[in-house]
Amino acid sequence: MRDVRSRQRRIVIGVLALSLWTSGFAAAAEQPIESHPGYFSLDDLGLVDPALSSVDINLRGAMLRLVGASVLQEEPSLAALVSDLVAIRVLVTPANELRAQQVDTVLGRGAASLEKAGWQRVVKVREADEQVHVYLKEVDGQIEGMTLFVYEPSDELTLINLVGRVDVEQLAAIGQAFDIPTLESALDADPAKTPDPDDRR
Amino acid sequence: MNRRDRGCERFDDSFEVFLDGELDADATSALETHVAGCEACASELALARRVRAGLRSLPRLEAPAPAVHAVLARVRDQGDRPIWRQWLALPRPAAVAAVAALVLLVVLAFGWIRPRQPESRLALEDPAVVRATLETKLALAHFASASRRVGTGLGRDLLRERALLPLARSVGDSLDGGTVNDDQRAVSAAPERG
Repeated sequence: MRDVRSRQRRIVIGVLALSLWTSGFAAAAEQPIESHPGYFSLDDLGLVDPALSSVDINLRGAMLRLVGASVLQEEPSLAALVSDLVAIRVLVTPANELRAQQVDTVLGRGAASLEKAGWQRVVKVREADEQVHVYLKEVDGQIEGMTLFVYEPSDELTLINLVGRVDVEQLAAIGQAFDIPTLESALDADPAKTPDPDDRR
Repeated sequence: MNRRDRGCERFDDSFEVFLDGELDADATSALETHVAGCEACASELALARRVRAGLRSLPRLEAPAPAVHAVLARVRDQGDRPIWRQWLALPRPAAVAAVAALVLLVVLAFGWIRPRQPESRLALEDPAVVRATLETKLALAHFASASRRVGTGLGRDLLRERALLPLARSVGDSLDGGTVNDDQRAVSAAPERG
């Protein structure tokens, strides 16, 4: 009986995965990510050289849906959150790779650019030891994107753009359960290494 | 003997039709022209003619009368029955074959569906998906970390932004005539950091 249920569950997950995958392709075909209201190009800031970044994550559409499907059984709440996202871009760069003055200028320019594009500022802190900008893009009362700049001159610069329906509290709560060093070592040990971002779209 | 080449292959299907006298005039002309200059095809055509002549020279065999009568009787009998009865009256080997075909169909259909389930699992177990899953978790971990650095959590900030700050703004505007700028409000909305 348990075998039958397990098989049924696997079939349901399989079908769901395929449908999510195909719907991902359909969605990707419908709208390029750059035209999504919640998209903000961190790369266009020109501040960070991905080659110097300790973390360079660029996940989009179909691949995110596959991720959602892959964790559906073991981590349904993560799957639900991920399925609402259209893209994830994260760049983390050690501060010693950057010039503080340049960071200050570029982040200021980025913040201005976000505001010009109708992003809503949630948090803005500009102090000597820390600089934080958090912006939300809201469309018809729904959060469609979130952009964070967190810079600590003694530590690192973190740039994040989450595109899609962002449940901030849930994402932060789930993210807290993940250990950064453990994940980084798992990624370093991964023989697949970092594929070309274009391949992951 | 010449070897047949690609030019010859286009006439492969024409020999029998030609011998049956059913090849149209143009094709016949083309075939004859080709055969005249191609020893291999001339040989093929000659062989086909010999086979045909040989078959025609075989004696005609008559079916035994009892067999003919039995077949005709069965045909007449089945022709009068409704379809469902004809099915029921199928001789045992035919019925067995029909059941076997049905079973085979089910097995094939099941077999067609089953492999797709592992395929979908395989897609999810693809190294690129595994890596993307790790990256997603890492991204969320950094998001949570950034959230912690900002304060006690962005969720609380959003609550302030969406519920408390609008209230404070409207009260503030009514008190100071709107002299508090957005920067000051945003900074005031930031949680205490410790």
